[in-house]
Amino acid sequence: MIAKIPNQVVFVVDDDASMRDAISRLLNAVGLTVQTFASARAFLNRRLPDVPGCVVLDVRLPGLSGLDLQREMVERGIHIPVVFITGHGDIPMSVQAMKAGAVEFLTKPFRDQDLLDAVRSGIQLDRKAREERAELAELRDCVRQLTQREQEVMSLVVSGLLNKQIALQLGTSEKTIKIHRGQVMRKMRATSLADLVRMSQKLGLALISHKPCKD
Amino acid sequence: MDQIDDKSLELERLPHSKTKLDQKASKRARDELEQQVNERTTQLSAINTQLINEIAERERAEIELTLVKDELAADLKTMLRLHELSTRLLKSTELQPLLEEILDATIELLNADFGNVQLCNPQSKALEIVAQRGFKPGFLDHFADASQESRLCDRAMSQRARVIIDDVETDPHFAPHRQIAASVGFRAVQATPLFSRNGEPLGILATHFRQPHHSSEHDLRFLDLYAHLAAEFIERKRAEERLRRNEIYLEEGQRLSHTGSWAWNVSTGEVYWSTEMFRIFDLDPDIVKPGYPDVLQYVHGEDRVRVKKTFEDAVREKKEYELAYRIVWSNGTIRYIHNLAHPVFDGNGTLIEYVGTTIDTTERIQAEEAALKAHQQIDMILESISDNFFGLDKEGRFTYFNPHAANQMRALGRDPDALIGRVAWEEFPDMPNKENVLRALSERVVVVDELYYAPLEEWVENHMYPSNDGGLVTFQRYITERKRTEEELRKTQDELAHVTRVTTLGELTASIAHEVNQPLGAIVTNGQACLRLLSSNDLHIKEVREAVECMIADGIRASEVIKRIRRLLKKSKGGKSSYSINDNIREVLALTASELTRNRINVRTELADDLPCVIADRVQIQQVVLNLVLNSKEAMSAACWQPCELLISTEHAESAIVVTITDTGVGIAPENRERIFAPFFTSKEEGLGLGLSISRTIIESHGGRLWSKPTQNGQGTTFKFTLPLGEDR
Repeated sequence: MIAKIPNQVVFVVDDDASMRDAISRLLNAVGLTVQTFASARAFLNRRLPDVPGCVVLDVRLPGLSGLDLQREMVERGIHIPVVFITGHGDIPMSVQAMKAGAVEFLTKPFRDQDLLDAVRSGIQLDRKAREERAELAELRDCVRQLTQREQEVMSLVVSGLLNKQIALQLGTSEKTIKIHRGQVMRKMRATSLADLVRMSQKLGLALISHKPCKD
Repeated sequence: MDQIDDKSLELERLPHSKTKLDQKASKRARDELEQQVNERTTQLSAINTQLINEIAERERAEIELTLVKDELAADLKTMLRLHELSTRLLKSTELQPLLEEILDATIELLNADFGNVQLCNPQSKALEIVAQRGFKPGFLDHFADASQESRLCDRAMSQRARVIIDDVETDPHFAPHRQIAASVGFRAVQATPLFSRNGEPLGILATHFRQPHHSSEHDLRFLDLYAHLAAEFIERKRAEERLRRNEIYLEEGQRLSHTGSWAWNVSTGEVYWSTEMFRIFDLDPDIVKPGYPDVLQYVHGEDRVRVKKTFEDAVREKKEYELAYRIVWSNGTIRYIHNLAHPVFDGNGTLIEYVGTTIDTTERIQAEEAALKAHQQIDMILESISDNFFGLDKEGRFTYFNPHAANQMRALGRDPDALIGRVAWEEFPDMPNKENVLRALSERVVVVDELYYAPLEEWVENHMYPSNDGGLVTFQRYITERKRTEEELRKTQDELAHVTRVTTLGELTASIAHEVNQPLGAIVTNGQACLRLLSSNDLHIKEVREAVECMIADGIRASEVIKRIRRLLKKSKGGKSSYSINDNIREVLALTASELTRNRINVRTELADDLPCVIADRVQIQQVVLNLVLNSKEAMSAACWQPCELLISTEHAESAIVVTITDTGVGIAPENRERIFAPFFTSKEEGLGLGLSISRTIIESHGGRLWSKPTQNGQGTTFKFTLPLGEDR
């Protein structure tokens, strides 16, 4: 069988083999691709496919617990959404999990629909996050092409200043600003000022705090 | 000379008578005269010769006389000398100086250079040198080695006659000893045998000379006299010594046996007491003169009349008598005396005296009394103890019953007196511990057993001790009451153990719920997956089958958890079974796995594979393991900064199984190390504080031990418990 790169993957981490298999079976039944892990360590040690996904994670694991793994993923920059399942959940634990960004906290036995919904929304979240991350990366590449002066002009343009005002602020001629502005629009591949404003919003503080590139 | 002078005078007177006659006559007369003269001369000559002969004879006679006189004088001198020597011998009070004196005198007498005295050993009959002068040790050694026949002295002894060798170089008899003689330095030797008065050979008196020597008849005669004298002295001295030794032996014997002897002369009233008699009566022989009836004053007042009567009756009837009585010493000490006496008669049947022995029996009587007392005491003890006491000989025959044991025999319908001498297991074929009795008898070891004896409806405990005579002494105690108490105690303990088990499980509720929930969750999820698979257009028979199989397995798993809990909640019936201790540990870990996981405790097990089975109350031992595991968990959750690891290991050590549970928890303060096993000692807020106390009770009731110690690296605690393996292993 030729391995096909799936559109999305669900990672199931549970030390209880039968629970792991049951979840896997359920997810397979609705056409989801599943990878199972018996421990947090096994999960961390595996190179994960670069597709949208979701982690179904048992809170109570031997060694590194579910909550530990959640923390570790954040630290390692693994942005896959987590759906917690627990045999005997308590409120403080679920609060802690949700605060750390869990998609859902399910208590075994759970309704299949609840799990599927949580998994789907997790995947959806991941997909969206991935798209945003991709867009942001693209924008950052564009910003990196701007000269320091062009970056200054861009931040002043998106803050709503007119060319004349910018020229005054930067102590140069309005004509020069116009040329910079045109360069910014071209390099940023912005179709309109509104587009550029949206882009800068996406880049957010990143742009303002961004140190100009040496090129 | 005077005779010759007389004759010449006669010749001068002759011429005067011739002148009165004529010439013729004168011539004739001259012729006659001449003839007469010639005749006369011849006569005279003959007389002269006779005279000379006479004179010579006389001279010889005179010389002879002188010689006889000298001889007499010498004999006299010899007699005087002998007298002197015998006087010297008389002065010797001991045998040895006497022998030396004899030897010295003999050497002096014969003008010898060396000498020795040899006496016959009365036992070996061999000659032994008892005194010697002038010999070097080498000669004495030769003497010891020489064979009987070749020895000069032995020859003298066997021939009962003196042996004289004037020169050892020429005497052929002496040839074998020449070298010795040369090395000692003598050339001549004589050996004179000594005989006792009745002719028994006593020994040899031998003297040796540096030069060849021939002793004179006189000297030898004198030597004979002296030897006779010496022999007599030696014999007498030996007899004296023997007598003295016998006296010493007798006195020593009397002293040692506390036996005195005495004699009472009936006619004179004179009394003789041996030394020991004085000692027995504690009297000084120099001060007190024994006599009758004075002696009665020493007799104990209560015995005096009886003693007097017995003695006087015996004397009157001239009979033997035997008498035991007490005497009182001057310091008040009472001594026990035993007296035995018999009369002695002369040839006419007249009673002369009484001789008797008196024995101080105080020590013996005291020892007998002490023995009797000890015996009575033992009897009293054996009778007073409430145990049954049996004696068995080495064949297993009854030798003794104390009163309790005798009562038991009667209770069993047996006559204890008739059972003495009968073999125990033949009389009681239903004896439940015959094997133990035989083992104690054959292996000579102490055997203790406990058994229920149905005919008596009693539990008994038997202590069988091998006795010195090869048999057994057995103490038997009724322990039915104790057994009942023990049983009640055990029940109480079981109840308590049960209560704590329930409490412990209460603590584990959350964990147990998780253990049940886990398979239930899997079942539900699998069921849901099945429904989805079934509702889809495709037939997923394989997947559905798998799911259902998993659901069944999980259902069983859930019920196992429930069973496990029910087992722990069940009341123990105290029944023991044979199983592997590892099962206990696996079950406990199955129950507590999620609890341990939740507390981030890593569990490691090192369970020995080939453990022999223990015979134990499975539930109770499981409770102990559970308790220890939960204690460790508690200790480790209190020390959350450390990596938490719980290590459980089992091993087979000699005649026991050892279970070790080590945690990396907070450890136990040294002052609490024993207190943790005390009831109601707890470090937990909700704990009863009975867990370890009950755990220890359980382990000890199984004959094992439970203890704790700090881990080797000082972090955490190690709990260990042992369970002994059965004797049949």
